[in-house]
Amino acid sequence: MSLKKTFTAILKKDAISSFSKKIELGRMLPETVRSYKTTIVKWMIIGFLIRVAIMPLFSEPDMIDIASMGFVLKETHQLLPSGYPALISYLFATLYVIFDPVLPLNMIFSDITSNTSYTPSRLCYPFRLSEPGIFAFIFVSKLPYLIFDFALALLLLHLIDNEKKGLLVLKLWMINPVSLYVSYYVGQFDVIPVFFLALMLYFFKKKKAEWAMLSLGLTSAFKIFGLLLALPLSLIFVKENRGSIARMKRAVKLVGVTLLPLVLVILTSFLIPAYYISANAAGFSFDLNGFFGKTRYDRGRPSPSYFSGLFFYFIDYSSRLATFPSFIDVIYLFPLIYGLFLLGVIHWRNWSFERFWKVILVFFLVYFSTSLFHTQWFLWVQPLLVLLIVENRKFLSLYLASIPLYFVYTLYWYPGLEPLMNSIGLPGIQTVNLFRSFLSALLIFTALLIVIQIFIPERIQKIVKKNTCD
Amino acid sequence: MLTSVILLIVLAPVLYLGLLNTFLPPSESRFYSGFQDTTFQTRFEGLVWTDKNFTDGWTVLWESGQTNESAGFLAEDGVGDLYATFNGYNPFQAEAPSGVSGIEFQKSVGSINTTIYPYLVVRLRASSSDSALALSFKVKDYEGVWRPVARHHAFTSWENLEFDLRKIYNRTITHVSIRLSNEFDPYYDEGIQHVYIEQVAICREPPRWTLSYEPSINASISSQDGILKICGRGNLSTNTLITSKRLSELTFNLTKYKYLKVSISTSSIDVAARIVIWTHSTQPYTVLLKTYNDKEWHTEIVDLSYFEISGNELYIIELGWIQVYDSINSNSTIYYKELSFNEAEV
Repeated sequence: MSLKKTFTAILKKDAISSFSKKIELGRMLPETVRSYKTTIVKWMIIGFLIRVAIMPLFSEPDMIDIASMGFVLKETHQLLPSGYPALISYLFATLYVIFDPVLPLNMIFSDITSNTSYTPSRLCYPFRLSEPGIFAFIFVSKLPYLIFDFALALLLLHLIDNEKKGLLVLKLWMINPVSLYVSYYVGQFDVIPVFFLALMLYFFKKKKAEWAMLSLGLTSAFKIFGLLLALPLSLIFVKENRGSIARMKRAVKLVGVTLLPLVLVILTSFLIPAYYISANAAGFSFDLNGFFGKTRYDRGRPSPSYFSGLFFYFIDYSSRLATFPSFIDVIYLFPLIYGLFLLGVIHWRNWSFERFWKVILVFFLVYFSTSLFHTQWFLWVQPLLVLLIVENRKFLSLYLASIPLYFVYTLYWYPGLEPLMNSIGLPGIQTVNLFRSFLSALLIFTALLIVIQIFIPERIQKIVKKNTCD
Repeated sequence: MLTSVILLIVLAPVLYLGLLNTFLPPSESRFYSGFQDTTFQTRFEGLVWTDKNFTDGWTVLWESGQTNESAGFLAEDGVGDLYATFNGYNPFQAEAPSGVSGIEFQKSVGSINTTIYPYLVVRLRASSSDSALALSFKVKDYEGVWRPVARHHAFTSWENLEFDLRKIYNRTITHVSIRLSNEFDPYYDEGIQHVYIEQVAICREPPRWTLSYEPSINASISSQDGILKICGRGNLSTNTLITSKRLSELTFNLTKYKYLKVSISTSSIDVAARIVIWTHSTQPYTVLLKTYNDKEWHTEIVDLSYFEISGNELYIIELGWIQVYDSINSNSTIYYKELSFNEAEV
């Protein structure tokens, strides 16, 4: 069949309908949207083509680093020490074992196979990316993201009970610019933990506590942020029990289930020998990653623990309020927000699904507005923001405004653009900081509206609504 | 029809990747060398005169502020020991520099044409690095005139000092002299001080790579088949440092050839390879400090601009090592090969 005929056939409605029947898509869809199978497949094909078009074109250093972890594990059966979890090494090693026959892995990672090191380490990227077959390599390396991305899209349909809203969720996810940027431009794997986060919400909705906690554990095994939600979620579930002993037993069980994936990953990583990546101690502290002598360094810090990332990213990145100038008393905003989040969970009863995901969303929105965050982290809230828009269209304009502001924020990671902005008369950093401040304002405002919606009594809400415009 | 959709899912990426490979082939990255050292010469070329045992021929040329026993020149185990005593300002030294104490020895070298054998090399160390102490060197020309060559502060590690005599005198010389004094501060009164001299030589070309190390250990440098071997023996405590230095013919554009490339092999994880780039006599940049857990060759590529190094010439390249863990009565060795400075086409 010619290519033209194939594509024409695909675009015909009956082809899509037939496809969805054959693969029994209906079983994967919630009943509310089963009658819209054809539209769903059409939008999925659109989403697929957009993703396929972007996937092989971009390869940011983050993706190459993640890929090198998988390659090292596959080739040497050793774990490359990294700030990333070992689970991602396992995933990519498996991927490269499967695709080894069609990928020029040894050429792309010839520096690793030939004991060549670069200072600074980022110098390796242009050499790795100049190998023939690089497009196929980048494409294959992003395939897991594609799979989790589509699984996440299907999962989102299960989180909405209204058919039209469900369809809108899917459409918005398929063209979500943050998701496309993070997974297929930057090449970060956050879509995987975000999938498990959505799975946790699914099980929460279904009132399956252990499964929800296990999903959260899997989220944490990929990205440690999932662990932040473990305590509030288990508190909500534990409150369902009566009597202290029953609550205690439940808490132990839930914590155990949550930590299971994390413990398994840590245990297996201890069983695998570490790959000795030699760090250049003459470089700048932040670039000191790897071994010097027998000590492993992470961003210049010796012997990092598994949880050092939690402290580094959530404390060091947080805004802070110093009290008396000549004393060491400092209030970190992130723990403050987290503390409020926990107190809210303890204080309020009747945690419906809607209230729960909105509180998580508020927590993350306030976090992003007050802390430094890596561009890929913004993906964590995207499914929740999509749910929010679908539930209440009033938030659409706020969401749309947040997208360009977010992309200006990403310019922090493209230092080459600062001189360019300066050259056209815009003070680079100040301009980005200005837009970042607007982003924070917008996120806090969104969070505030959500809080009013879920916690303020309806009569007060009516007064607020009366005095505001849409 | 199912086939059509599956074909789309499989074929679209395959066709797309094929198109990208055809129309956007990646350009190959490579290095172009602007300077390289693949021989690591550690020996003299055209050695016309040398003294490595100091048993005879050295006579006093100048002495001031000394008694019979307080100054002299001894030879012990092939090392010359030039010593003098410093008791503060010396009122008997009237002529310039006034008030200075010290001693100077000279030796005949025959008749050597400095246009053919231009390099005077002295390998030495002092008992102290006190800033008042001065090490001065002179040569006597064919007309009997002493010509100053250089004056250095004292240092305690073994170093090669290398002087291009063509810059001083472009004809025949007959004598060399070495002086230890307190010329930098005539009031210096720290008693007896020594200068230990391992070798004095005049040659056509000095060793390109020379060794520098603290006297508490034994160290050696050699090169064979393009591999520079730097070895240290003894009680190697943490931070023990041995360096081999190249000072000559380092004129190339560092801004253009900013990628340093070298292969390294180490004897154990206990020792770190250390590379220092000097753009000026007071401006060292440590650009590499690395340990390896095997004895294999490792290629290091360092972007010097990362360390904000630029300019038209290098002053010194140091290839060496530093002990990372204490190792009693042992030895550590590092091998270097294929040193080059490159520009990259990326």
